[in-house]
Amino acid sequence: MTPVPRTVDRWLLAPAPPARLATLRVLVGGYCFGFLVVRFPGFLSAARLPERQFEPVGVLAWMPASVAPAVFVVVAVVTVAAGVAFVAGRWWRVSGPAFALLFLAVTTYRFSWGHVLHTENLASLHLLVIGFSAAAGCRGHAPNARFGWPVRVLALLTVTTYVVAGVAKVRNGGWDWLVGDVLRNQVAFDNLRKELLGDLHSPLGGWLVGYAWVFVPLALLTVAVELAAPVALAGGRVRTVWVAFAWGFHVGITALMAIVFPYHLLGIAYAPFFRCERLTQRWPTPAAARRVTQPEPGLVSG
Amino acid sequence: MAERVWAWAAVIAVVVGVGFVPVLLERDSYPLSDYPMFSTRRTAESSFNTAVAVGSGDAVERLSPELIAATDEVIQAAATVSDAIAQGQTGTLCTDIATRVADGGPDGVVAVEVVTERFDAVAWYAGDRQPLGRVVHARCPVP
Repeated sequence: MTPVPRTVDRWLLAPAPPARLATLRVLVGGYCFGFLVVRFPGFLSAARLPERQFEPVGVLAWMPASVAPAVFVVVAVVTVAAGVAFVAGRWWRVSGPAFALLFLAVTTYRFSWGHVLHTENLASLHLLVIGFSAAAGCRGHAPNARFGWPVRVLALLTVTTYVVAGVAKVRNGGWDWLVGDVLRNQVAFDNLRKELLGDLHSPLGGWLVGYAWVFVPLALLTVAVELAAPVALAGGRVRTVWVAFAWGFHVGITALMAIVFPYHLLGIAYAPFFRCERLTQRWPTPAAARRVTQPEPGLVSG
Repeated sequence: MAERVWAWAAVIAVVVGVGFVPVLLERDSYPLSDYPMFSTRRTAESSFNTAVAVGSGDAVERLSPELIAATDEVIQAAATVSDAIAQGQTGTLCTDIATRVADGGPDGVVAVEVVTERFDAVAWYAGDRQPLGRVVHARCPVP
């Protein structure tokens, strides 16, 4: 094996405690379960939209027509029930894949009515990785690569989505996106659309549109954070700094455009970068945490 | 050995399936996407498809996504109006909205209009709120 694949191989297959993957199961599964429950009324209203608006996407692109709202309700309720088992780690061989696939199907159906939101893409991808991994029923097992590589793949997914978004900005918007008025116009457009359609908008974003110079550093910072996402895989301080910037980026989107990415704002999108199993230990001292957890190795730093 | 195969297969699937394929195909879908949001080379002037309530003095009042499209999501409401315009169904949509306005909308509304309005979004926030253009696709009375 040449040096680069060897480094990646070592990072990918580094042992991790089962508690880390189990914690991610609870965090990601709990988020998706909560999302379904909280957004249930919105899901139902979408299922009752006129048939002419049905434009199936993703894994449902094959569907010739929508299903009866009652059928969708039954599937959504089964999904919520599977979510309870998923979070609890019960009947894992069934509940893991079932909740991951049902959540993907239900959310895909929700986004098949004329517009695709991008707030849940990462959560559904994370859920698929966790649902098909050994994320439950392994309490007491020794740290193992079996529990480690799914966590690395979750981190890689987070990184990849940022890079793709950064590439889209550079490709579609070009130099103008970085140093021109594109971001400023986007903030103005998005807030005005919300005002014209009677929705909550950001007064801060509207006010800031009057100051064009503010948007040049914001645009540069946005693209820099997105394209630099792979540095988070290195671990250590550089990872923590990147996560802080990425999280701040989503805070900025919320503040300037009233667009909420809850999965990112809650920090769950970044949990695979850290020793998140500490969350399940009650008030661990640093020394105790070192004893009971394995380090989260990066590609560069340990 | 099996773990190594699964792990590398997953890494390749992520890099290729989530990274390269959506970018190369320029495809926005779910859950795989090239994340085109905010990346459009947008100018200050934009057209907006929406529906408004018209009062007795022709005063225009904005309607919520719930009243426009029976949804709580603004982009879904915008998509509903755009879709009706594209398919020549604005009369039907207008009547649906008027019924919802009669049931639970603002008081004093005499009609609903499905419109395309063109604004300078930056100028809007500088206080210039006059549309650059306005097309009424359908107008219907509130029952």
